[in-house]
Amino acid sequence: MFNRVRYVLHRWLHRQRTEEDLDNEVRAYFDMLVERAMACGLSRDDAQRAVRIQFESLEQVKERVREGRMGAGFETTLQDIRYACRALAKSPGFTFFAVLTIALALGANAAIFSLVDGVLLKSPGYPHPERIVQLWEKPPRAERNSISGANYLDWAKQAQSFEAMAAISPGTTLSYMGGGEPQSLRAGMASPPYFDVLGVKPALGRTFAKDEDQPGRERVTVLTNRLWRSTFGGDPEIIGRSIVLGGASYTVVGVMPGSSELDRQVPDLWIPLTFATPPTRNYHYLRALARLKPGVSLEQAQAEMNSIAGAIANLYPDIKKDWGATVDRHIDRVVSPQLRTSLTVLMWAVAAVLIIGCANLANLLMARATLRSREIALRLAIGASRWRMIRMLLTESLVLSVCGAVTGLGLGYGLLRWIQSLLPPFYLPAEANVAIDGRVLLYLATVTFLTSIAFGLAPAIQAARRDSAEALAEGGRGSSASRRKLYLRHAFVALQVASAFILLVGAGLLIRSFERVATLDLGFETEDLIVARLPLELGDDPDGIKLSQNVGRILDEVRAVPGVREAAVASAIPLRGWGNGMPTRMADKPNEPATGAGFKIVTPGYFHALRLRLVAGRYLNEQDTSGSPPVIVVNESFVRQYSPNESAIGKRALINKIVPSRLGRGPVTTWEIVGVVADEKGSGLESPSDVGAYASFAQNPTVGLGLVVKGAGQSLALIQSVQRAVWNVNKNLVLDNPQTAERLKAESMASRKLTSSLLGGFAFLAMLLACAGIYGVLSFVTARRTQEMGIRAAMGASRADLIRLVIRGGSLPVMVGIVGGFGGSLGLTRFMEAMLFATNPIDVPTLVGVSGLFLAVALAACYFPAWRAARVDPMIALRQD
Amino acid sequence: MAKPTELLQGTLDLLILRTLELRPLHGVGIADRIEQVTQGVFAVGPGSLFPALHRLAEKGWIAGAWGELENGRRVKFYKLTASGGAQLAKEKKLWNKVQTAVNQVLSSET
Repeated sequence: MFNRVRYVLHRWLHRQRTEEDLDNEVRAYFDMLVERAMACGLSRDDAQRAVRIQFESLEQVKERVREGRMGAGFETTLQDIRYACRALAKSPGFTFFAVLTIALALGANAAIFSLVDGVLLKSPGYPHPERIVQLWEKPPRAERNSISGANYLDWAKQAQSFEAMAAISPGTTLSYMGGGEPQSLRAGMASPPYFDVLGVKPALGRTFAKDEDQPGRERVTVLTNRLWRSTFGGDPEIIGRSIVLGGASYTVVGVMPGSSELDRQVPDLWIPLTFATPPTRNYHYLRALARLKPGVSLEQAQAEMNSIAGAIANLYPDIKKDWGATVDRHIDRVVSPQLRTSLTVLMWAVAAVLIIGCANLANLLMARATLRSREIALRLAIGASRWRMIRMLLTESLVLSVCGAVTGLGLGYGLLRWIQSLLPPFYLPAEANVAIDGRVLLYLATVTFLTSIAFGLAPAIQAARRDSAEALAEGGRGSSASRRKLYLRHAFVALQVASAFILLVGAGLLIRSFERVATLDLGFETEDLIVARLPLELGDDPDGIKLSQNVGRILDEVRAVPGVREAAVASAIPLRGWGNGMPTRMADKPNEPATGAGFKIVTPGYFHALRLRLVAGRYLNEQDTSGSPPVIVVNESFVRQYSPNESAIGKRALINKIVPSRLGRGPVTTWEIVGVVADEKGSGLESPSDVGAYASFAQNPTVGLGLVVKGAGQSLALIQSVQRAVWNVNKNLVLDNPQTAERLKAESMASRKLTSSLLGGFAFLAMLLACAGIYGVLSFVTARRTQEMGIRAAMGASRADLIRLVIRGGSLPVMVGIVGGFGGSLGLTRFMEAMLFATNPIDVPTLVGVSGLFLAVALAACYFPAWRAARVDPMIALRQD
Repeated sequence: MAKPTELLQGTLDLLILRTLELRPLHGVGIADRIEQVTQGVFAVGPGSLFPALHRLAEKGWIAGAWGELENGRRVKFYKLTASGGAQLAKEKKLWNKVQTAVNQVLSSET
């Protein structure tokens, strides 16, 4: 084997001598035959002709020898590549356009595919991810609900279907004094078996021991690799060290591996989830994950959970009547339907761009092959086989594709980085591992190869199939045989226009949705509004009165900061939910079942800070204290749901209080409605419903607060001053993720904005490519009709006549494409429904707008070649060729 | 002129090796010799002769070297190598076996 390679290589290095040798040898042979024929009395010319007729030509013999040689494929390929490069270098305009087209299309494909692969296709890094399940409580009229502490403990004790089960709480923020300024860290709280459920082994140390959720043993922490590398400088001696978090001392017992799912989640570190004694059954705040035992099916686990939940419902009918349990496979619920739809649509979009680009290149290559038909015919005539010609032309398209792919890889990498920089942090699920890796490269290589076949094969076969004599005689101009070819090209144009049209409609719908979201009435003013989470220290049983005093002092300090107009705390910051969802019913309709409504606990300043519009009654105020009658302010949606067509003021609502630790429900309380305010977009911009009520912090103090500050401009500088003011009260208290409400709003629109701009960009690119296709085909057609134009002009046709003539011919496939695209978009856009906001998938303005835009651009693409053709001088046109 | 019989793949190699066993020859010489010995049954054109020669040379069974004819023309002479001789012996044996077998099949028909 090695010898053969050396032999082939040697011959290739000395290929010139090998070639001369071969030529001399075969030439001598033919000379001898000619001499022999002359010896029989023929003249030299006759003898040469006789030999040529009897045998193959000299070149054919040489070619056969070359083909029969060892490593012939390798040599031919090199030759083809060399030839292709030379041919491409000779037409730099074409090459540039082709490579650019492929690079843009493949770049978009690389970026989107790596997202699709990372989010939708790649299976998570956990061992046997299909055995990980999510557990939910199932309330009477819904499928999934968070879990109460007592229920979780019962499940964990009784269920036999699982190897391990772990509860996860929403987590908390802890301040860490690492020498310099205090830093706020997100702490995930999970039951000790959490890491066993996931099957992730620590990189250093260990994970939680079974009993480390018991009082006295719970001060341990497991760090994510991310935090260990950044804050702790990758210290290998970290295990066993004590660190002070939120005023308490924790021992570091483990560090998790890097680049794992755990590194792509919000928590910086993990601490054991502990339970108040005794945990409540009526406050639902936990998520749970479990790992199925080998061989146990999802259905078996569901059946067991049904019976466990049924027994619990029987034991506690007053709170758990008709409640069940839901078991879901974790990997099925990691990706939200909206994200799945967005990625799918984007993938189709880049595939369409690629197809449009390929159709363009196929058209261009066909035109090129027609111009080169003489050269190809000549090659065929002197002994090249048709397969050899096809191979040569295919090599050319492969060279184009590879150049495009390499450039495209760079573009794709840039595009992916750009996409990632625009997505809000932790937007993609932790299980998504997005990177340009071997899988993406393999995909790209396959697509590149297929692309070159797609746009190269048809023109190559067509070029090689032509009859040599005809092509040589015809001299590069088309004849009747080319009519079929022209139909094919027009079909390509129609296809391009149709696909680009559909993409444009899709992009148009997304852009309209985005506009609607961006101009949405939030119900409050975001200007000069600063929000942050306020992590109060963890206490097993926080005292309501102390909590109120503490918050009061903090708010006083913050209000004293120059530039602060108003400050308040709330159980959730704007656009981030209500903090609590509580079963709610009206006192005057005791027979109606309680339904969930938002229950935000705020200090009175909240309404003023947000400029929430008062519709009726009054805001909460400082006179609403723990000693005065409980009152709430509700929003308009609340009135519509619970007290339609009547004034809500003075009515009473029945809602449980929440205990200060926020780990359980207090007694059912009768709240008098004293005011109605406009809807605040509570749960994000696109939440369909915002039913909620506001209670006074003084009447129901809890931990887990957000701070809201209304300033007077200079918000970024103000954040610093507010933080210092908070430190005046408590040196350990670090504002978590302080930012402007404007940014919060922008962040909640970021993914929508990104999807619309991506689809918009791809659609625009598709339209440009389609126009380039229209232009290219029409230029080609008119160039071939120059003579005809000349005759028409000579016979008295005006310039306008000629322009009309060309445009009429060129606009037919465009019209067909637009009609096809129109129909296609009517059928296809409904798949995008999940991505739209307050926009009908069949949106008349979008359809009309896109049709108009496309007609205008396509006419422009037709007009230029027409104008050029009409300018031709009849004399020159007739004399041509 | 009757069309000469198409050569079986591999048969040409055997014929060339056999032809060169006697003495080194150039291309025309080999073609003439084969035609002459087979009494015109096999006519070898350059289109099959040269690829075969180069194939055999690559395998090391024959070796080519430039030489001169009496009239001063430079031509390439091919001669059998040692390994070519061994190969020829092997192929002869194989051919005889095949021939016997085929003959048996043909004679059993009557």
